[in-house]
Amino acid sequence: MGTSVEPSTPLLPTSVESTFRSRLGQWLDERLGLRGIAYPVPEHANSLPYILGGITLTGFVILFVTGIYLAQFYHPHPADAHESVIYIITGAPLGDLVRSIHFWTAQIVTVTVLLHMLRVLFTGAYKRPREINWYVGLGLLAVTLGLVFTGSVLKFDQEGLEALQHNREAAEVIGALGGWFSTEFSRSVPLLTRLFNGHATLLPLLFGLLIAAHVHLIKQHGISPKVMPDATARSTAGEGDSRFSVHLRRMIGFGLMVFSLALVLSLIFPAPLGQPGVAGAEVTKPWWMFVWLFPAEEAWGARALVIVPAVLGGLLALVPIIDRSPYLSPARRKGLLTVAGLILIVSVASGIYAALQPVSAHLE
Amino acid sequence: MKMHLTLVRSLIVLAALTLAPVGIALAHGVPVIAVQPAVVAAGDQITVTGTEMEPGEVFTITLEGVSGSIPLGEAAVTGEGEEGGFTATFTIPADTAPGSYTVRAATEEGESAEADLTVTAPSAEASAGPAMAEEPTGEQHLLDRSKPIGQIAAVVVVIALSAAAGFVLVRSRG
Repeated sequence: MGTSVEPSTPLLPTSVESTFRSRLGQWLDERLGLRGIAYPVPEHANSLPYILGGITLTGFVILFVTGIYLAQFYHPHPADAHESVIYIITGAPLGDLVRSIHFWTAQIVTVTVLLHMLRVLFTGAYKRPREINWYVGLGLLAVTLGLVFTGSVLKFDQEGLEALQHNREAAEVIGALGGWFSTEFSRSVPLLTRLFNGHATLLPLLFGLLIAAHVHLIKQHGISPKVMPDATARSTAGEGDSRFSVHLRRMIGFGLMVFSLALVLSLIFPAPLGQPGVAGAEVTKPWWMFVWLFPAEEAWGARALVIVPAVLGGLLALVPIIDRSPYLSPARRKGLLTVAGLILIVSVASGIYAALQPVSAHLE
Repeated sequence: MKMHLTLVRSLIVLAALTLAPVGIALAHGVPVIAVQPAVVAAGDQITVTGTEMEPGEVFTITLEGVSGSIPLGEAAVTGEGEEGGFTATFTIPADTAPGSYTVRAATEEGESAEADLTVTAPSAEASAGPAMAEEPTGEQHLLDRSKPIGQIAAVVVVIALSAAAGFVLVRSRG
């Protein structure tokens, strides 16, 4: 359990304090208020499971920078999109490398954001007073998957075109609510161009708003208390033996490691690009974050692509409403975690099944 | 309690309104069309393939864009049972303005399906169009992705520096 910090306690460790005492440090602190980031946080906030959200955020910084670079060479029109991706790979300075970093960072970020959500679920960090932040987090998860999906379509190869066709079918299922994904929505701008707009402007804007709310609420309530047998949910703002500056430093450290990992993967396995898409065909499988849906699609058709994610999203939204006890220990929340574990196992098994099936079987 | 009941009723009505199109779509099936190629020069031909249709139906095929609708022709559905479909070839008028279009197949009963089509200028270069695979394939596009040794060396240095800096930051607790 963290302890309150008295106002007289030095806000920074000696070495950092001395840095701040330097003239440059004082100059910067006076103007930027850097001392303000050294507020207390519990020691367990610096452990890897509690930094997953921060690692995801640093991954997004890499994605924004590489994405801005790629946007200088990408042409979001059906007639030119695939050709422009080929140009990025073969002609743009460092284009293949930057595109591969973007691709691999997106894969890593999807993993870390899912692990972050599972950690929050497992440690009961969605409980009062953090329910709203749980919903903000679900919004961020949806935005992340939306960014991954639109990004997979933009390359406009066979897999991207098939992803778009599946999405259009799914959008038709929900009627007017899916209208944005129809070609009828805008006669003057192709759907691919609008998806690019979504990928490069709308979703990043939404991400920015949600992450600002997410960070604000974390600061407001503090990190969820450490999970112990009798630990209960409560605000920990202003408590702790460590500092947010330490947390931030470790977050940036892990972010640099993610960058290194993305670079290694980019060198060994450059981001894939398929042949130009042929409309109406189905000869590829989607990326791993969507492939788990395909057994359900085989069974129930395109409506499964809407209903299954909607049901899972609804269940996640119900979590803080169903589990209202103050206890954080998983031992006191066996029912909810068992159901969550079963859903996770079914989803993973479904993904493995879909991945192992030959493409022809998935198409039938 | 009364407020809860009202809320529950509202949610049920909202869910019913949201899912209403699902029932309609299931009851009548959803016709699907595919257009090949997806990018075509004005004056060239496209092949429209329809599936999930009832045999005997006649679909009117139109090209819809910002400037209006251009009739392309009709296609009659053949087949047996619920497995009807058609394959028909149409010529895009040579004076069609370049741009994004929707190919729409619609019956008089109101069933319709659509697909995207990009029309380019009717020049010889445009007729060649971007390289489109004739047969759909999941194979990777083979490109020369070799990198200069200097670039690889620089990237390896960046990897090492980034990993080392990350390790130092993660390990430092002060």
